Amino acid sequence: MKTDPIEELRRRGEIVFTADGALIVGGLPLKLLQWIDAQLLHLGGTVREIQCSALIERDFLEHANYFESFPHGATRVEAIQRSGLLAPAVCYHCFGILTNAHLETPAEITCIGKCYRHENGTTDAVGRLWEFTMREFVFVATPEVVQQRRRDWIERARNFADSVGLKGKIEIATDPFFGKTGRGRKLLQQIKELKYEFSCPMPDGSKIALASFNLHETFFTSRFGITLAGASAPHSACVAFGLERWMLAVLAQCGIEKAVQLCG
Amino acid sequence: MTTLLHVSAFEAALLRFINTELLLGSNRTIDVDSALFEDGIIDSLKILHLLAFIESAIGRAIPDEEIVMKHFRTVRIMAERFAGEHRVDEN
Repeated sequence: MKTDPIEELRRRGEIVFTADGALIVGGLPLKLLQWIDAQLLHLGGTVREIQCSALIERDFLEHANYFESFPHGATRVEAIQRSGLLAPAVCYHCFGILTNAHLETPAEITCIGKCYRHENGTTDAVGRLWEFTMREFVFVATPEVVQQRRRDWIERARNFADSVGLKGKIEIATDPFFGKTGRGRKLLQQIKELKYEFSCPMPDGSKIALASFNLHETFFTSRFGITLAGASAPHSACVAFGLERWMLAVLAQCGIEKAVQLCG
Repeated sequence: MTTLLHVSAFEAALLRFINTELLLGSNRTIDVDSALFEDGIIDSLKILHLLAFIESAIGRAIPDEEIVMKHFRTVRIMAERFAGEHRVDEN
């Protein structure tokens, strides 16, 4: 009988799924996760690098309309006489850094950090974690350049997945939106093909998104006062990779031996 | 021939609705080949009004999976896609 690679690594103590939806890794899974991130960084070329905080200001997320899409998505943390939120994505920190920036040349930034998301209150499925590590690439440029960057990354992600033997699909996707214009925003996102996701089937029958490729148009640049020389209204985009999900998907689909070959 | 008549009538009705109701007060007008979704003409509220107009004309709800760029790029394309079901009496 074929052994489930993730079960085998759990048995060895190299993968631990904690009861509250986090992941602790060592040995092969850790090497694989680090190898995947190194490959992505290599694919991204020379760009400005940022390591992000797990904390994010509530005002910032409100200004980014985050709660209209995910009213209960952000995790609140408490300490004596203070409280805060944990970042649901790392690209927000990039827009924080770029707030009121007058760019002479397009911005290309890569950022990494821990993110925290509740997804319908469940963290049962393999890969559906409350805490995870996100590698993102963020672009601010003319609409044409931003769209080209996203096309490039869709191609790179497809080629990277093929090269490691990972089966999945890149498809148009939408975020959940709430409120009176929620359906309208979701349909606009769908018609304009603003979001693509790379999704993989997992052994438990679930399908998880490993990467997303998002055009923001002027949503962030206008809200955060970001301008670019020579562009009347610069656009932004981000490409996001969930590193634990990539690691789990490679192990689940390709097996331990292949993982050793890749990062050994 | 009948289909062609239906398409042109629906196209005209759709164009009139967008220019006189959706774009009211915007100092903008479009033609049948204008790209509706490429320069912010249609926002998240207007798309719902546009769908309501088309759904009322064709007599059925349009499922979300049918609401994609290849069917909604321009007025001409929308008319061609949905006019076959258009129930307006063109006599």
